[in-house]
Amino acid sequence: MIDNLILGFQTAFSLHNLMYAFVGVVLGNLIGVLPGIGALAAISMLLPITYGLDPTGALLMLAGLYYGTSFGGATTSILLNLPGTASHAVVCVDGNPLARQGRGGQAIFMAMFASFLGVCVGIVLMMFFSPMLVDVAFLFGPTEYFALMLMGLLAASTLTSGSPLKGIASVVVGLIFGVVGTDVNSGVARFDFGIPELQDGIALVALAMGLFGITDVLANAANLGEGTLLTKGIGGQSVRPGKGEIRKAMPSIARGSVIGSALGILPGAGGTMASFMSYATEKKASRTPELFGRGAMEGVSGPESANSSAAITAFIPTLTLGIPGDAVMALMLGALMIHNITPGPQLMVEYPAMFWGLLVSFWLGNLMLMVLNIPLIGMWVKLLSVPYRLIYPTVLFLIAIGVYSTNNNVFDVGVVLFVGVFGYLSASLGFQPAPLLMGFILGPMMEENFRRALLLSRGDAFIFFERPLSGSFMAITILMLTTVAYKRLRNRPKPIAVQEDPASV
Amino acid sequence: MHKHKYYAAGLMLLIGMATALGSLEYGMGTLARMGPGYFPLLLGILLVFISILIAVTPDSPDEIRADAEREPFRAIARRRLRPWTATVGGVIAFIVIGKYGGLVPATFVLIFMSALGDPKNSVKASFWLAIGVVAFAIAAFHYGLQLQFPLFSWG
Repeated sequence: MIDNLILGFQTAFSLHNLMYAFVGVVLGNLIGVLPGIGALAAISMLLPITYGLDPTGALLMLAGLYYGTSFGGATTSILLNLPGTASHAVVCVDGNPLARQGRGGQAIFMAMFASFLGVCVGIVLMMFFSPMLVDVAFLFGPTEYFALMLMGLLAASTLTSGSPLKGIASVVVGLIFGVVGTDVNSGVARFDFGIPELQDGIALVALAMGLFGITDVLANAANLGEGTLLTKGIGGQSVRPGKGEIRKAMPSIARGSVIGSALGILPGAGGTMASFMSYATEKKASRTPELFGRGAMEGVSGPESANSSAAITAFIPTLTLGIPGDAVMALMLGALMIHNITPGPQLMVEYPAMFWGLLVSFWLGNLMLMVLNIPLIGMWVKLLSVPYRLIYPTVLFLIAIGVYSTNNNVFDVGVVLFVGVFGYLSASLGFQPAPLLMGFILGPMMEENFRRALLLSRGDAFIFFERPLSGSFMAITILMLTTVAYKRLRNRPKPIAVQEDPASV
Repeated sequence: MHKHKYYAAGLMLLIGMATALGSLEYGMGTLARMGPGYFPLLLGILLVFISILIAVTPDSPDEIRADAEREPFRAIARRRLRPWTATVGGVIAFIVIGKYGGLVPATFVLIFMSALGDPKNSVKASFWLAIGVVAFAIAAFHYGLQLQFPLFSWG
């Protein structure tokens, strides 16, 4: 396996490929900081450029774009609370409060650093376990998927800083939003209200930007006219985290990477689910869980490392099983097929240089990104010293144009507005946006696996408890539910001190 | 009766009921062969159940806090009417003008209108901000990213 890695390094470090990766990273980074234009839009716009390259170069460039945009997305999530992709929604939850406390630079640095380490762990795990991981992916049938998603959703509902019961309610609302659109099995358009655009479902970007971006602007609109800056105390905006902070973040990065690598192999929502699960884990593991949602560094480092290590292992189902994990991976798969490379179990054996070169280029790209961006972070953060009264109209425009770009249709801008107003209303009633988004993403997959599992079991609902793997997921789910119920019903006589809450939406 | 959790439960009850009733329109099927209405019906019923739980169980800390910090609706409305009208109106204007007038006028109106939501933004400042963002939009999105959005269109 060391041979493979060396081969990978040789491939990635050849001058040509180095250049392609670099171009990809720089372009991705530039495009990624535009909110709403995530990896998907960037890759689909630039895919034609790669037609002329050799397959390895093309894939390396696309991979460069992928993490370039992904990093740019983290920047806007932290600074402006605008997640371009679903997996960054978690980073908003704690990254944005950190930025408001004047620690945006540190949070961005931490996100970048955690992401780099996540990639490292992902590659090492791939080296030793990739044949095994392929087998694990085969162990997952619809029953297991459903049980795992149920567990993931329940973990996501603990994302809220408020009541867990409301978190579960948010998840269910998200699932309901996910039902909108054409049913894959019967072709019936559900809850489309007679609008043809809704038959494709609600656009993910519109939902994410509405829930976070528009909701945020509406919430801040309350303070307009009082001359607020987004950050308090522009003075101490150092980029480098405090001395002990990196060491303190290490356990969270380690846990995040392992969670990410494990979930990344599951086609579907690997990366997103990994970042949400990692957040939930960090909150459970932390000695100060009340800090989460109000600016906890672990809430940035854990999910970011999970996200990136998942991006690495997500190549296993994409390249060896031919099942793309998400839309971005599907595009990469498409790019491969254009070059006459068919994904399959043989791919790792037939094109080892490409496979391992790609992995190493992920590592390399993250390194490039760090070097490129350390001087830039200061500049991004300075953006926040612009008065908010000039920022929010621009943010509204970026949301509108970003959402427009997904389908070239103003209808989606209407969706983003509706979702934003709804998000504001429900957030002011204590229903947080992050679990809703999670429910929305997993909803369609969950329904499909639910239906498939019960079809296979001929309507026997106990199948979810009978199979060992799904049975253990269900057991954990029930355990979590009991805890929530117990906490809600237990009488709490002590009055809760009213705290100042910088993150209150 | 005007308690935070009742409003919260009410909203969820509404969504849950609407989903459950709406899903009755679609085929139910059986547990083994579910129709398109089965899953949403389950979700709707689940949400109704949760909303009842929210209403009948003791208040959680954030609800106690929210009740303590309540201010009358009219006070909120008076203070926030201008920013909300400006931001929501700006986006609506972007949709309408974007459809019939093109990128340049839509962007201009969105920025100009929403910027006026802050009383501290003068008309002049809003105007120049709008001009600046329009220039950025043309350079970055129209020419840079080749976005399919005509700069101007008539009707």
